Amino acid sequence: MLPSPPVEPGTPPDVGPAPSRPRRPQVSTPTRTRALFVVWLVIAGACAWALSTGKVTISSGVDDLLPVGQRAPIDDTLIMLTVASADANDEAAGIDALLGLSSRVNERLGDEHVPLVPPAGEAAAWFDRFALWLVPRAALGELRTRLSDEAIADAVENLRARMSSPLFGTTNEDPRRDPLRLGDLTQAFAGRYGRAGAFEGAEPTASGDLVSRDGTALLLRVRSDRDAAGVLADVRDVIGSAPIEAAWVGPTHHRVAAREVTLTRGSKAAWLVLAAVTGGLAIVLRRAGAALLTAAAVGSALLAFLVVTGSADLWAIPMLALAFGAGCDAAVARAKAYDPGWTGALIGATTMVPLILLPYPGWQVWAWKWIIAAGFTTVVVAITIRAAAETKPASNAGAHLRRRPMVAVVAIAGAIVAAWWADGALRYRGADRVPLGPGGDSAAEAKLVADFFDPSDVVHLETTDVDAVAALERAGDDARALSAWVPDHATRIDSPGNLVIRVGELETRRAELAELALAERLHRLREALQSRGLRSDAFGEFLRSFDPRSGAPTAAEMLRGALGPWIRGYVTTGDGSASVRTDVYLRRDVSAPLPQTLGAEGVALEPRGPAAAARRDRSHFRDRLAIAVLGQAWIGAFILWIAARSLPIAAAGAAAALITQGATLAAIAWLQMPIGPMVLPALLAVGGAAATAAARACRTGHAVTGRGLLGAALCQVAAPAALLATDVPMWRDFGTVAMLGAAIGLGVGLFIAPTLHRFVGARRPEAA
Amino acid sequence: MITRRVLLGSAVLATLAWPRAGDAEDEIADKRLANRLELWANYSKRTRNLLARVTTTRDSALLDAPLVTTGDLMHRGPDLLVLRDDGLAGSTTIVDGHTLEILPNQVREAGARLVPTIDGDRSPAAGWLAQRLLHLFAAGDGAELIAGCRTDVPRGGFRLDLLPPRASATRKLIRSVTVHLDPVAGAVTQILIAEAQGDRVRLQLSDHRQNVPDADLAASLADATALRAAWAAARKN
Repeated sequence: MLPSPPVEPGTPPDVGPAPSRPRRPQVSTPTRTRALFVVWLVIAGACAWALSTGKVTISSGVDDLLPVGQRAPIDDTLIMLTVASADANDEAAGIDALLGLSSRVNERLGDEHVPLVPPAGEAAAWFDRFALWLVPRAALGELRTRLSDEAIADAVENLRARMSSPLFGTTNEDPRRDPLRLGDLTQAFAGRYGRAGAFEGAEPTASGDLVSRDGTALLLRVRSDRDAAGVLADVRDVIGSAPIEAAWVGPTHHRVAAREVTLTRGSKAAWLVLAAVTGGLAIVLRRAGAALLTAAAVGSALLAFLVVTGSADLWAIPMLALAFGAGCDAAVARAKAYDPGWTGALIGATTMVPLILLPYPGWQVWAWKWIIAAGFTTVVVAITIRAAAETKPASNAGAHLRRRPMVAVVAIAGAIVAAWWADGALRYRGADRVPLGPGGDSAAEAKLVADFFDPSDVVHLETTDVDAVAALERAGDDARALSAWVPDHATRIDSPGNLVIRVGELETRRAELAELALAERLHRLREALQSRGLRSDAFGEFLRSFDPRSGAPTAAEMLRGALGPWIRGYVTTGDGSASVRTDVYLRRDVSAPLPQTLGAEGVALEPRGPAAAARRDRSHFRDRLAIAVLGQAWIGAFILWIAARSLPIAAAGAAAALITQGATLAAIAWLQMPIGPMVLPALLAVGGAAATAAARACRTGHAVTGRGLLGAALCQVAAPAALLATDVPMWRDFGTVAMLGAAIGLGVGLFIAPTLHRFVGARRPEAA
Repeated sequence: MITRRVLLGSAVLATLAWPRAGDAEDEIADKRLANRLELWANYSKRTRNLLARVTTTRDSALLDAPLVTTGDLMHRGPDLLVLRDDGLAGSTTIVDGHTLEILPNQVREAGARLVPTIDGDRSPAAGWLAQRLLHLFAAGDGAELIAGCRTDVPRGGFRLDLLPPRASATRKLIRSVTVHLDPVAGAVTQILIAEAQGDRVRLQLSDHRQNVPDADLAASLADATALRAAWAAARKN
């Protein structure tokens, strides 16, 4: 049962203006109170039953902070097949088994299987056929040098000399296809050229999948409207009893893992928060029963909120922890009559409103949800406090608040300096990489990043035109423009457009190649090979690429040819138009903003994807943070001004919120924690807590002891502190920010706000 | 006349003998391997360094006729192996720990870019073969030699087959490495490398000189060291 607060003589009872208003909430008749209490119990029981029977949908939410158009496609799934046997001689678990399995999986999935890279054989044939056409224009000078008499002689001499080495056949050289090593010219542009060779630890298979160079893992892409679990089940069915494991990797894995983390670790986190806050309440209220009742009241309100909203995700856990702390804070404040009116509830409910202005869809939704949650807790707390108000008052002994101007001035100056320092020291972390901790880790995911690529770094650009041929040619132009990003901003530009030449450019390129006198160079090469005892016919694949009659690498030719199925993975057709996708593999460095690049027609190229969104968000995050913080300070001040009809209290509340948030940012920087959209609500919550604490301190001034205020705010510290005991880094970061901020906010409210209140012109409470 | 009792008895005996026959084969194979490694170790366990003459023959579809070169093999324990062809038309193969190089003996400034470096991480087969060659001449009990291999000891002759693991990517390039040992001393006399694409490389060793003075070895290795430096300089230019 909740204790009633002591009555301090001469203290204004409410944040409202009327000093004659009664100190405690009105106590209704016992019958009515008990009836409400019973209703509450029934509703709480029903909500608990609904939650336990799965009426609340648990979803991932891992993409929710990214704009919808920037999220990784849901229908695009990466599946990794990994050798599960440690026996290197187990043929059923070797590279041959993996490749064989890849073929069977492709058969089973049919059109749902989409090649990740050009199939090795077809791509090699295309390169063999058009090697000279595809040498980048910047490398034509080097090509001319390599076709000189001296260079041809040197290349053939080197080749013959190296053939005597026992290691020659193991070096992945392919002299049959490229005795002059002209491939180096495109390899130097490998990233720009989009060749699969740009992957460090993997190589393409015949079906366009990627296999790790150590032969222990194979990566394949599936694009399907079906549920990802169904696709994986099909793959596992094909594997059968072979010692090979199949697992999602990339965005699908993150989504599934985030849901699992919410489901399994979320309940643990909830119990931790409940235990921490109840313990704090027991210390504050000095009565276990009252603590349990308060925690149960607020908990049931949030339970009802969950059932009404019908869903929970990764972000719900820390947000509900905050809501729980705030609700218990309000309950204690109400019980102790420091804040029995609606002011604190309104400030609390509007804490997240500024998030509506920011481009984080998940937080926009939570801004509204937070209002609902605050409304629920306010109503339930009001009911339970009425029921508990008849109980025995608790002692509220302790030191009385004193105004300490010097402490306040030093603290304010320190907070301003710290915030200024933090502005340059804070590290940004985007919402493209939500750290899930052990629950999100998997061996396959680690292998994916180590040997293949990190899908979080891949962004996409769509190029649209009237048909696939035109779109492919335009995509080639865009890809060549984007190639300026390699190597500083990107490692690879993957577009089928890279492998074609515009019909309009064919004559120019033909003329450039004609200048090389290829027929004569071909004759010279044959002579050099034969003079050194090498069979020129064995190099036929290379020599045929010199033949001008072998056609040209046009878009139409490519769509017709063996690479067609691979290209179709990049092409989307609509009514009278077709789009070709270009994949850009960005470098990991998120601090580098993406350069502005114009496409062939002067349109700015803006690839879309989580990594691109994070980079753009990084460059705007400071503004967004300022909007959120200032917006919240303004809303809090406005509510205080309306409630108290006192500009000094409103100003003190806003200043306390801003000082708290500045000091919290400094603490984050000092702890070398990253900041980003993921912890924005925590920062706003501490601002709200500081404004409320300041308002209470200013209204109660010298007359009320600090123990009650301290005790009330302790809930706001304990709830996020409990998140630190979880193993989910995202929740821990969130909890750290909220915990630090709530503690700082409490100090600011207690020790600085009363002085601020006086500075901005309020009369001394004694005089009031 | 074969009675029912005889038939039953034969069946029981055959059933009991069957698994034992398999075990016996394994035991024989293990014993043969142990014998081969013991013979090999007889020579190699004393090896601190080794100089030998080597004749290399490559059979390849790229060539009109087998390519035959002669040269020197130099091994300095525990992790340096150099195969240097005679004359400027040949090449020098250097296995220095995990660093692998094939350098033409004639340094051509213009062609420096045409001589690729070998990245062991991207060429696991090269790394596997280099380690087999290195450990073939290094002192040891054979454990490192056969690590990461399947082995076979053919009947007849004093041979040892080293094969890449069935599940490894190395099998795409190398089928087997067959080592011939001297039946008395245990020295390696021939190495036959069968590549998966059909090329065969035969290294025939002779004039083994074990544990030569360091000065002599250094003099022998000087050319390889100089060649390495020259190619490094050429690549920089």
